Amino acid sequence: MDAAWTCGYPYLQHKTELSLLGVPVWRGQPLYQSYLIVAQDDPATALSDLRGGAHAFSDPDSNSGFLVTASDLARDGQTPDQFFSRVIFTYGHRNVVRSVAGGLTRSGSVDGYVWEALSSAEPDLTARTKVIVRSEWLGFPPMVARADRMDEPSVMACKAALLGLSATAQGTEALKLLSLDAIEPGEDALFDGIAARIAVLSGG
Amino acid sequence: MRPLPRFRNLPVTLRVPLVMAGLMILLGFLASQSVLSALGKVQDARLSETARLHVEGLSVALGPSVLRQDVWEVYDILDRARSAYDGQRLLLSIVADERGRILAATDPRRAPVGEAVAEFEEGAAPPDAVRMTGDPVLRVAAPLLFQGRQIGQIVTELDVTDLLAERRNVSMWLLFGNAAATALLAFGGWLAVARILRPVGALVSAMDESKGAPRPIAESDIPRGDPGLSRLISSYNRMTTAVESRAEAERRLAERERFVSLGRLSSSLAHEVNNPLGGLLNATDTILSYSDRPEVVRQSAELMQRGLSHLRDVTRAILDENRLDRVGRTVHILVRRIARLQIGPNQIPNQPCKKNKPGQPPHLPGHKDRDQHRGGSDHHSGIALQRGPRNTDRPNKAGQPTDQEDVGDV
Repeated sequence: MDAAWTCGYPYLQHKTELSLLGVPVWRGQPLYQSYLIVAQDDPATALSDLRGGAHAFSDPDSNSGFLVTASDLARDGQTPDQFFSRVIFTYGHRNVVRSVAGGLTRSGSVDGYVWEALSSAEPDLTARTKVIVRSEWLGFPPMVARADRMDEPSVMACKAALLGLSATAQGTEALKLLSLDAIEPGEDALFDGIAARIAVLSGG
Repeated sequence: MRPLPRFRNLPVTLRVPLVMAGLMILLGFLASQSVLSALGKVQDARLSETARLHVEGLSVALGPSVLRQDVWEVYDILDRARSAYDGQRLLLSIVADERGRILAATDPRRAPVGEAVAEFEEGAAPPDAVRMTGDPVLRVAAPLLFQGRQIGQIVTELDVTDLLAERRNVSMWLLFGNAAATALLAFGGWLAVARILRPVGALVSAMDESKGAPRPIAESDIPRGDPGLSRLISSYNRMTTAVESRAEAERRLAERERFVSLGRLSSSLAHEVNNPLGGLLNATDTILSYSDRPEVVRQSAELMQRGLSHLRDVTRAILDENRLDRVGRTVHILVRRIARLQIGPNQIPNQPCKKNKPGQPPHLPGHKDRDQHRGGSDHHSGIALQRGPRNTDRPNKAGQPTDQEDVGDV
């Protein structure tokens, strides 16, 4: 694997081995949020209202799909398994929305960018859910490559292509499909918020 | 109220189509039942096949996930399977583990994860035994087998509303189709029977309208294609011919009897007129011969008076009877009454007095000795003279002659 579009959480977990190729710009900034969603008719308005219910996470290595909610609970000294009656990993943000919309779980932690994109692509699906909690703005999932290969021509060409997408018609079309504005070089500081949550979860 | 007698009173052209319509309805009912039964079997087979394929497909896909107790994977597979069926048939699919606890369902709100699956197994049938029961939702339960081992349970609710609607539509089409076909065939039957029985109707009309004189049916109206009816109408026509012949014979016989009576009347009249006429001529001759003998003239005059009186009686009898009845009956009665007037030559001599010898009185008609030489009707009249007039024509108390004629005497 030469390059990958990954979440900020695993990027930070493997910060020593990875370097940024670029960070997508969504709605004018390289940031996104984690959403806590419930069914459309659920009366819950906060995470605390979801105690005892089943919860769907996207992936244990996902920032928006796990880390944000887990760290919020960690701040209160709780773990997901303790707080929720049942926790399932759907291994996909769309599956989290399906899980909540279908009633398999009462709530779910989902990438805000994915939920918003789904609301355009599959409005019937997202219409059966609602967002009750939005996290703070966090660093958008970056494109990364191995740090020791950043000087290789292919990696450099890939980086240049990603960063130049907004300058070409084809690139703009690709970005439009992804609901993105552009890809910028990005900085590690964008992921400080995620790093802070990692620290909370790890008890630091 | 007994319907059968009322039915019997209906015309045969209506009864036959009604009977045919009844049989058509019965046949339509049996055919409909057969069609619905076949349709039910087809639907049951389709339903059983759907359930079997669904369960078998899920068993293959769900095995590893159920072994891992992976709720999401099980739900994902069930949800995709439901989407594949487009929600047309599978209302609910539930997968339980080997302990009977629900792992996932297509509708987790109805079948929450971790609940017992037992309540969903009530009324459920194995895939091979599922049948249409009239319930729009049928349940199927089957063991979840993986690598030859039961690792859980699958319960599925099938929506058979469309199959019930199909069955209902077929039933309605059968009902309306059979009703229309029965009505059409009954109408056609009525037309056919009415056409077939038209000669019978013509026969009945000919007999009804005959008023005692049956009229034959025209040869063109005889159905040559139907030997039975043709023979019946031919027999009827022969019967009408025989009746006509008999009536004609009776008419001729009556006419002949009238002529015979008229002849007898004429003969009687001639006889009754002739007898006194002979006597009158004799009396006239006697008067002319013995005009100088007053006694003889007086006796001859008396004889003439009696003869003329009888002629008057004959005339009166004819006039009286003619006033009463101008038809043939008069003839019969007249013949009899005239015969009873008893006018004879011994009352009015029909032979002139012979010239007597000088000194002898002339021989007057009515003398006993002179009556002996007459023959035939004269002799008969002579006998009647001795008996005198018959009492049958004597007047009644009111002075009118009785009319108690005995026709049998004629």
